[in-house]
Amino acid sequence: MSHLALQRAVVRMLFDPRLASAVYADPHQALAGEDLTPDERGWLADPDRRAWTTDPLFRQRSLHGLLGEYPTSGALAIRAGGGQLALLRFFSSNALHACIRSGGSLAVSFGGWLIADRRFKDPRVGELARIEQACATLRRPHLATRPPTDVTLSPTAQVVSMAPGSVALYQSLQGQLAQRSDPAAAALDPAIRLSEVAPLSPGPRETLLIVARPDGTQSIETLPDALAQLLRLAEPGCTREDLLSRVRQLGADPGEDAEIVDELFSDGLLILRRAVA
Amino acid sequence: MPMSRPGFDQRVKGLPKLGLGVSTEYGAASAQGALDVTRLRAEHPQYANFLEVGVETVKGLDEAAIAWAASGLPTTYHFLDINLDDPEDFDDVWLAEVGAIAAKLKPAWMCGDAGLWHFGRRERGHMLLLPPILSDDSATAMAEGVVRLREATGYEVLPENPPGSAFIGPLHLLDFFARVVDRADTGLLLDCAHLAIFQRMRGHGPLTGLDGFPLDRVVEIHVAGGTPRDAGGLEFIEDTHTADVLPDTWELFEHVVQRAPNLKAVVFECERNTLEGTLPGFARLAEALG
Repeated sequence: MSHLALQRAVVRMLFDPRLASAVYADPHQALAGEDLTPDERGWLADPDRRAWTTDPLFRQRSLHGLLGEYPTSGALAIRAGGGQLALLRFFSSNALHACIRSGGSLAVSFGGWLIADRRFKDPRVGELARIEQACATLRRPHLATRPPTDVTLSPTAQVVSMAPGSVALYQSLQGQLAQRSDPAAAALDPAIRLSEVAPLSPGPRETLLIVARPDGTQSIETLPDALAQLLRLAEPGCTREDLLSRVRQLGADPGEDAEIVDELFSDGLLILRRAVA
Repeated sequence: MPMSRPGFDQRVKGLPKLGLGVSTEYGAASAQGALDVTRLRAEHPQYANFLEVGVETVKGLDEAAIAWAASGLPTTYHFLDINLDDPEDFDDVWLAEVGAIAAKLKPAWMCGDAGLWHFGRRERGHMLLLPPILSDDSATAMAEGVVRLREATGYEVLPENPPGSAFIGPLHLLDFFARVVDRADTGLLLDCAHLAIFQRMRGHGPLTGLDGFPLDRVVEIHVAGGTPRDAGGLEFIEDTHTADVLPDTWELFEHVVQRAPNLKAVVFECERNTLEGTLPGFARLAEALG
């Protein structure tokens, strides 16, 4: 199936002109480690180099699509300096290439890049991206992990650690951008001023619960510490006994422990493994 | 005594002759300045004998396509979301959705660009359209995908040569598709505008490679306008579906149409043009078809 490996290389070259130039300079070095024969690497540099530039707006269109899911973090990143170029760097990033190679989700990978990239001086970019990445993940239930344990977090729920003040900022920016006919285009346009861009608050990080609603929107709430601990325990997968034990450590009376755990199931936050198999 | 399955030569005789038709995709009919296929059918029925419906299963069918199909008029199902050369792309959910949509359209056959419609999984933000890798193993994988879809849906599946700019692989596009249709024992949707783009990009004349191509496999033809562009001095044609069909495309169409004994359908892809603007193109196509 080396034609599939070639297709992935083609997509990476389309997104990343630096890779395309590197392939033309030395296809064997630029694509070292890829499952391609020497001939196949050479094929990638056969067309006129300019044939890779016939769609100059390819990355901008992709960015516009991504900001449909990352309007607030994208808007802030653009206004924090560097403009759109700051975000177009994603298409030459290791995150982009790893995503294409592995068949991952471009939207979720973009969120991970926003969170991890240290060149964004404004820490609010990463914080807002955490919320938007969780929402992007919820829109893709096929990405839910399948831990080999009895109990796991529902694919309709995400637990996210956030700096205090992030939710208020997110809701303020989202509300402003949503008033536009095209929130992603508004996010991309630095001439559109955003108000009430509040700073993050000092203090310990909070845990948010983000839940997908049937209508495609998401609810966001701050979790009490005890509930956050339980859902964090279930996130990578655990047993029912693990949960009961943790509930008791948190101070539940005998008999009350099972009631609390059962309530998490009835609320749809936890599910049994067989339900997601 | 085991019965052998009928081959393409037999199966193609059972396909209906649709004549000249027009294409659409989700939302195209309601877009400003779009071709009104209902009006075209009413005023020039000889140009709208059938509707080729571009389908992304995640979007389904729009009202115009549903209304056309409900009236009992012929359709074809043009997929926009399957990488035929990737076995993992044929998931059960997608196949079920295709089956449900096809049940509404009752198409004469399925067809669509045999290229890369999306990278990774089929999801928001992953859609594009790139040509196939023009190699022998890619042709085999593509042929297997054609057979897989044909067997899963029960419809004839006609691969189409996609557009592109960076064509990768040692084969000529026509040699690649000759291998695909032979190995899948199927027919071809020859897009003359896309082929003209390829020929220009590779520095060939419009008819290069056609002498060795089995034109009896051509069941459907697409014709569309294109726009000459420039990328840093490289002249190329963008597949813009204007009503202005380029001379290379006309030359290809008029050459093939006289030599394709199994030709059943021709689509003028002009969905984003005014009806009046498309009439000269339709007239020339109709004249060539006799």
